[in-house]
Amino acid sequence: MIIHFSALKGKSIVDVENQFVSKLEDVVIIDGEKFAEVTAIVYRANGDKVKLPWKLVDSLNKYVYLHIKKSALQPEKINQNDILLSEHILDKQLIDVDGLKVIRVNDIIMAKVYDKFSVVSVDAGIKGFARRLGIDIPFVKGNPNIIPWEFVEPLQTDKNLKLKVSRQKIAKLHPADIADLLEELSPKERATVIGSLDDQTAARTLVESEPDIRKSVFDNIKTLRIAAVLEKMSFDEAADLLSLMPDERANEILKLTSPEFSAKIAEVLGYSAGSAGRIMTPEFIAVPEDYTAELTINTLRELMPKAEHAYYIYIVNKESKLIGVLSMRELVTSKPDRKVTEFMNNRVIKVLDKDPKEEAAKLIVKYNLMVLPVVDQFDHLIGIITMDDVLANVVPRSWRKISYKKIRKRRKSKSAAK
Amino acid sequence: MKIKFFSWKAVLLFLAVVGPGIITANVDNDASGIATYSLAGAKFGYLLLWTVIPITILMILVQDMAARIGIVTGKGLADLIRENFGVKITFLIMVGLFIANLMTTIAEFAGIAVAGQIFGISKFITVPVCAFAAWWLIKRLKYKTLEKVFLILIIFYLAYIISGFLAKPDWTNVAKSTLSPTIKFEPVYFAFLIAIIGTSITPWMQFYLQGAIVEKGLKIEHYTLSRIDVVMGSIMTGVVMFFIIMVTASTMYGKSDVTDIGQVASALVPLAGIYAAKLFAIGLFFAAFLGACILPISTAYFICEGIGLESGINKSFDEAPQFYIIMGFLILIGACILMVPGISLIPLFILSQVVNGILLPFIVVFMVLIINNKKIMKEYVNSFLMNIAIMAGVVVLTILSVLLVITSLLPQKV
Repeated sequence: MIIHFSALKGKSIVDVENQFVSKLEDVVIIDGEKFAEVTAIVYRANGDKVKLPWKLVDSLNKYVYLHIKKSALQPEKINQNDILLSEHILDKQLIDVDGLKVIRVNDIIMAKVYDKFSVVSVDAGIKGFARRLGIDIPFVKGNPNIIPWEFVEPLQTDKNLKLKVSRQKIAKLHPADIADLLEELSPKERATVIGSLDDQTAARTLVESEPDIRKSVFDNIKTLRIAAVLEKMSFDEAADLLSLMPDERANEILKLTSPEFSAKIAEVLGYSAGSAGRIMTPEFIAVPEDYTAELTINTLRELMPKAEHAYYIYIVNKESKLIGVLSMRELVTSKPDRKVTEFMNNRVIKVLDKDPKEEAAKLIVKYNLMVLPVVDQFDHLIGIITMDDVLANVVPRSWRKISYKKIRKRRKSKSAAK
Repeated sequence: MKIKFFSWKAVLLFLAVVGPGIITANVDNDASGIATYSLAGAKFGYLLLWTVIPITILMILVQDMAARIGIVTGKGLADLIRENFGVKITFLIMVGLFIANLMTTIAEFAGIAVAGQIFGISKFITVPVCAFAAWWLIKRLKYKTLEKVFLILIIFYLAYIISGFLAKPDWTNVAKSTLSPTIKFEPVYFAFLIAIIGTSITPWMQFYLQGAIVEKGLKIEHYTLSRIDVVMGSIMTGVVMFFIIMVTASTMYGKSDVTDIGQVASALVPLAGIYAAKLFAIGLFFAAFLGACILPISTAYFICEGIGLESGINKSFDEAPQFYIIMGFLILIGACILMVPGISLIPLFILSQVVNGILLPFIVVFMVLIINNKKIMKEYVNSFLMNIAIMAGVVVLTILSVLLVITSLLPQKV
């Protein structure tokens, strides 16, 4: 049997001898993973809110029946850390982490779960709203909008509640989904959500967000935090974000990042928007021409590069000009003592830093490359462009968005069919 | 570091913050506003000009509160009312807002009809075309782009100031009437008094302004600039109001019995020339069209926000049915009522102001309660002086509203 909180609130509390105690004003809950157990009932005594343990409740019917005498009651004061359903949850906004949207709690649905009276879901639908007004709509077309408790997360810029009911459901979402969610929020709320994520997730989320959303986030979070988040991005992504900001702010942020990071960012930012240099990553693996296969592999072990940087190993001569390329497969399958120059490909497909980024995209598509090296006018190797960089830059942002939403919808309809 | 008295940075910052106050205040001089001001001028001459100053001050006070609440809480007014006053009050306010805004939307379409008629275009063409155009604009453009379009449309309000000079008013008389209030103890005078207030300070605009400020993500360090934005907007509204009353007062007062805003424009032709009349009509048209776009969409937003329903123009009908129903209903009914043959427009204008006038004191009281709540506003609660000023305003508004309801219930000739 389910009970609506709207029906429970305001009920009279009576003791074992049917003596009226007070009206139920609120309940205290303890948040759990899937449900929130109701631990106490709250009423007013002499104007102050007090609570009684739920175990004193005998049954719920027309009234809330207690199984002890009124004279034996020992109500306690409300604790600072207590989560009150009516005060903190009802009528407030929550995030539906499954539907990726902000909902308003119109009513709360409770039931007995494993013998414990608990909150099981929240009603964000029009039916719930009508019920609060005392109107029963027997039939509503479409989505009733009832969200299981396990999928909600408080959206309070109020720090108190955030600590009380911290569930970190949002942090577990895919960054692309968090980015969708940010669109539903006000600038202040966006900053709160980003603030609750770790640097890595925050960085991925911002990369997936629309430019105007990123801007609103940056305007609302501390410079130090922005610097930390930026360092988790690749250089081209970070440069992209910085270019959206006023120069002064961007410089302020760069000062707080490590010197190597800011130097490389400055390098990328030196290229005009839309050029290959702007979307490149100035991090790659290059070895001198006199290296052997074994030495190269040892160097790789030491450097422990990120995956996207290690598809190919580039070979440069003494003037650091790009003279050849090796795939990882070619490297590991070669005899250890062979010189890289003996088995490298010396016709390297490359792009000039000042070329338009579309040129880089064409080369990557035409030659089926994972990574494309970028050289300056003197043929010095200065960076690489990966397939992802090109995709992100060439495919319109709206395409990617649509596909995420469609994937979610499909997934949802599939699980509903089950 | 050099110290500069004029810095481009400050100018840019100001431009980034302005908008909400100026747009809101100007959307406020909508069709029903223009109708009311011009009829007030035609009926009472310069007599009601003095109201411009107190109304502008009251508007600044109320809108400053809306701006401050928006900046400090980062939440819309409907949100805050729901969270602090519960379901029942929210519902009643939303119903009130819906009715008031429906009436106002009708008045906007009436304005479109009248403006078209001045140019000799039948309302059976202008009204449906504009209804579709409004729907198309809302559906097609992003809200932010829409706002920019609106900022451009505001330029058309200049039309009134120009036609004000073309009307060659009696400047000494204008100055005298503006600075020394004259109160006539006649029901019609009071009806106009409240109608002018009811049309210039509306419940709806408080929701709109606060929402726009939240959406812009303004922070407390922007408050001073936002205040300037609000004050500038209110003064612009006051100036336009002043000029409209002045135009009709100096051309029509005592010359003919004007009861319809269409007559206002046609009466302008022999008195002030065809250009003044055409400018007047253009100003009216854009003001009305602006209102017909902004009102339905923002009403749908506020109601869905308060009740907790899905909203947003980027959602499909299936995702947010109520949002579209509210918006479509307002546009459809607003346009259709105008198509009823033989319908008289003036009672529609007056009715919309009566509903707004009754709702306004309630909204302002809720705003005062919210802004004085330390839990919500922290150190940014109202000062004692500000509370006194605003409460005095509320008392005056309430008395006038009650008077208006009584006078409109009594049978009489307006």
